Amino acid sequence: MVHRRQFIKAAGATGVTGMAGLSGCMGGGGSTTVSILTWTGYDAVNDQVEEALDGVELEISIADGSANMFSTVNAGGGEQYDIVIPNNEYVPRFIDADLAAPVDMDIMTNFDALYPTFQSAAEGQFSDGEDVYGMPVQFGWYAYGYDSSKLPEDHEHSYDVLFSEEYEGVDLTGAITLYDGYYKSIMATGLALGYTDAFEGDTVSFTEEQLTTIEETLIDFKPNLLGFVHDEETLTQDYQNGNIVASFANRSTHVGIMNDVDSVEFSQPKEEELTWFEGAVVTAGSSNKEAAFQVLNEYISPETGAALSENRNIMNTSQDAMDNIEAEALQIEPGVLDGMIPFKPAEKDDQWIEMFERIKNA
Amino acid sequence: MSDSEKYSRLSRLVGRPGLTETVSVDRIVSAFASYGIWALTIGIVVFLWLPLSQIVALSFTENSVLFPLGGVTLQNYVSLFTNESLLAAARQSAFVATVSAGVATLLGVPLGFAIARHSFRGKSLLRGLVIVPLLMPGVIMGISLLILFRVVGLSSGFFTTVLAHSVYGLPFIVLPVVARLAVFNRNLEEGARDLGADGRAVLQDVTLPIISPAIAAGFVFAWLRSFEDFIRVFFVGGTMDALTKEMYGMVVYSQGTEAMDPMATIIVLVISLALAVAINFRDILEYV
Amino acid sequence: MSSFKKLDDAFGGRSERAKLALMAGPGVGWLLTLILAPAAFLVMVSFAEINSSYDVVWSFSVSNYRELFIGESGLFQTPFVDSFILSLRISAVTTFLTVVLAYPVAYLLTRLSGRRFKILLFAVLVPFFTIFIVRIYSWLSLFGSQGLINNALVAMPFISEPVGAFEYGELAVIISLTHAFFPYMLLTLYSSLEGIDYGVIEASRDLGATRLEIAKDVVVPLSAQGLITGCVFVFVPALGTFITPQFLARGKFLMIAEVLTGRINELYAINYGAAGSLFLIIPTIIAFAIVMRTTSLEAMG
Repeated sequence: MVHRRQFIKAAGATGVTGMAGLSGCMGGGGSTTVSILTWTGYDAVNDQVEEALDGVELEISIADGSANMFSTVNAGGGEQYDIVIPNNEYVPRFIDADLAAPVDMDIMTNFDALYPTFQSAAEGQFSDGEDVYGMPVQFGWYAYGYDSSKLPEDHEHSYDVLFSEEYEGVDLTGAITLYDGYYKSIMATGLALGYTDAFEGDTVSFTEEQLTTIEETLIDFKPNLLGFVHDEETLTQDYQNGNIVASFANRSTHVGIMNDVDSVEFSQPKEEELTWFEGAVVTAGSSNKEAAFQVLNEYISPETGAALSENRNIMNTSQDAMDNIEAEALQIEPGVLDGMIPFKPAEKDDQWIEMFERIKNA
Repeated sequence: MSDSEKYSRLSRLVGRPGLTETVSVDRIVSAFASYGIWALTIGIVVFLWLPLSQIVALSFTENSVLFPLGGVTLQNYVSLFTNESLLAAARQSAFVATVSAGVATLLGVPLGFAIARHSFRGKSLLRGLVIVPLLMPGVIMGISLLILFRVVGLSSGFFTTVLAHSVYGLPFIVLPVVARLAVFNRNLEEGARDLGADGRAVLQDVTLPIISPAIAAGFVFAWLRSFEDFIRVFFVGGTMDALTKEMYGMVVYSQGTEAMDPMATIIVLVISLALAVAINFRDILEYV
Repeated sequence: MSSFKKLDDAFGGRSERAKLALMAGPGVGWLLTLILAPAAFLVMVSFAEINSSYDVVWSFSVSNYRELFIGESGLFQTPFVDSFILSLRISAVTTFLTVVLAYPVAYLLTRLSGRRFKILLFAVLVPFFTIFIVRIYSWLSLFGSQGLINNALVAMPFISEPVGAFEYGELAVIISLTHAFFPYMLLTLYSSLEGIDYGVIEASRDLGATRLEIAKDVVVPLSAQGLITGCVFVFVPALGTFITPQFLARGKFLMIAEVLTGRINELYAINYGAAGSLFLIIPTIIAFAIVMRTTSLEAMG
């Protein structure tokens, strides 16, 4: 049996149509295989989860982003994957397309230990008014990191930093990087311009005028950028070489940078952080729903949740899990979640993406 | 050195012995052209090898940049061979390549025979169709197959990748088989028949041994093309592991490139060895 | 009548056709299902729409084409058009560079034999067989403001700042593409130069032609077929390249494959992708026509 399983895994069983049904009953001896479509780093806690839940085996597949996860599940992968973990702004899309199963809250014994913000997010963004369809698992936020040896820690934290040639007397020309993605960069620019109204409601909805100003700002400012970069290695090297003063990217990216470069800090901008969380969904087509919910509950348990965070440099939505974490870069200040702006779908994302293509080609 | 000495030296290089006193302008141009061609060729070889040798050097150093020079280490190789997901992806890619090239061979060899040996209606159209997978940009093949699989409800993964790569590899089998059969002396087959061999025996003992090097070369090409493909597997591979996807992620999403350099080094090394052997044993250019 | 013909006759016309169907059928089926059918779907989906749950809504609208060429930006002002022109330019320059570099080497290869031939062949073929992504990756640490080239330049006495041209961008993309596709050009040129009868060259030399004249009037025309095929096999893949600008332009600009991939990956806009792909198919069809006119299948082995 073991050999067979390994062979099938090597043969890429996750993708083979017709083999999907097999995964549920593989392994024999009453063990259940829970198949998960998610981001990198989750496999680090497989052993821990399998140990905690008797008779459950995990099989992790990695997708290229949330849109990819949605199209995979929507194209019939719903029976193949028991759990999908897209970004929070995609969860409503799963609910609308009837691809998500209502969460069995009786199994979610760790739910009460989630930060209140995420409990209410589950009951808001992840709910159709009656049932909850997703579980916030891990979270982080987008703001800017900066070199504190150049830009002092006590500067006024604002997205304005990213669009200034000089900020509080510090020269920033050519020393700024923005995230290489339309969604995040446009939102950051909008916040820097003070368009906070756009973030109310279910979608992020800038007016035409605001979008035009955002585009002009980004194009005008492009020469001042070192580039659209968000990969950790490049950023680390550029910080080490003193090329960057401020970089707009994910917090987890910066946690990695901070491990290598002492002077790098992460901001808490006055416009508030753009917060994302991974919303785990048990697929409507799953035949192992109960085991799947147990796995979700495990991802937000104090021990597994903490291990998951430490492996991925990403924070856990469970306060109890966070209390178990020692790594300094993962500590968050109390209150940071109070004013957070959760990711929401962009209202006109094809317009946004075209705008960003224009900015890039400018 | 006087000018005349220079000329005579050049003329000695290019001219026939004994004809040193008069040197035509063409001769001088010739000499410069010979020198020039060599110099240029050496320059180009350096250009081809510079980035690769730099990767090989980097794979043994502590820093991720060559200057300032760090210490020599095997740490990068340790991180490669402990990177389970990268190794699994490499195995998976090799498996996909083997199956795809195998399928392409099974389909391509008879197709090659049909094109080379038979005349039928639509043959010239078919000859054209065969090279389309070779010419079609990967991004189009990827997008169009993604749409096809989506419309017929085939979910992306191993199976869909093998479909894509087997059709991608088809020309690499068909073309050498057709080429080989075109120069192949039919008299050999007829001779065998005249000596009483039946069709099967002729195929087995005469035809296949002669075209098998072409098939083998085609298989290697189809295998390599599948193994190195990124864009098709990106569109139709779903969540399946693939070496190129893993490498792409390492560079673009920066999941640490320290395993990249040793991986690349090993690939260069394996290729060099295989090629050195091939060049010494066969005139491999026949199959390129 | 040869015995082979006799054998064929013995099988009779009908079974001959059955045999042919058996031989060619599966391969042809493969090509029809996986090349022609997808191409047909591509055309259909380019007129369709995608709803919010990423399902194809069959319709006949030109909105995808409108999106490509007008979009929000105005007629022919769209990023798609910009990227298309940029990609054409990059591919053209790359093709030109490979021709210039490959001609002399191919010529030299035809003039060498034995050990020298084998060594040179080895030297040019190893990079060719090294997988594409590695070839592109190998330029990554050479370029960039902190790349090897710029570090070496800055270390020189009169250059104090990294040179912009050697940062990630168009030059880096062109050089790495030239590096990656050089062997295609070399091999096609070599095989056509190899076929040239050197008696012709000798004869023209005897008739007093200079080397330059021989190159211009004899060698180039005789190798034209290989040159055209080589250009096609460099230009077309260079036009559709995705990994190269991803690695070496680093967001400075977008090549056409990046635009299409980005739309599909981020918005699942396969309808937009399909319409855009059709414009990449046009150069492919032209290339195909050229190859079919100039080259026989037998010569392409």
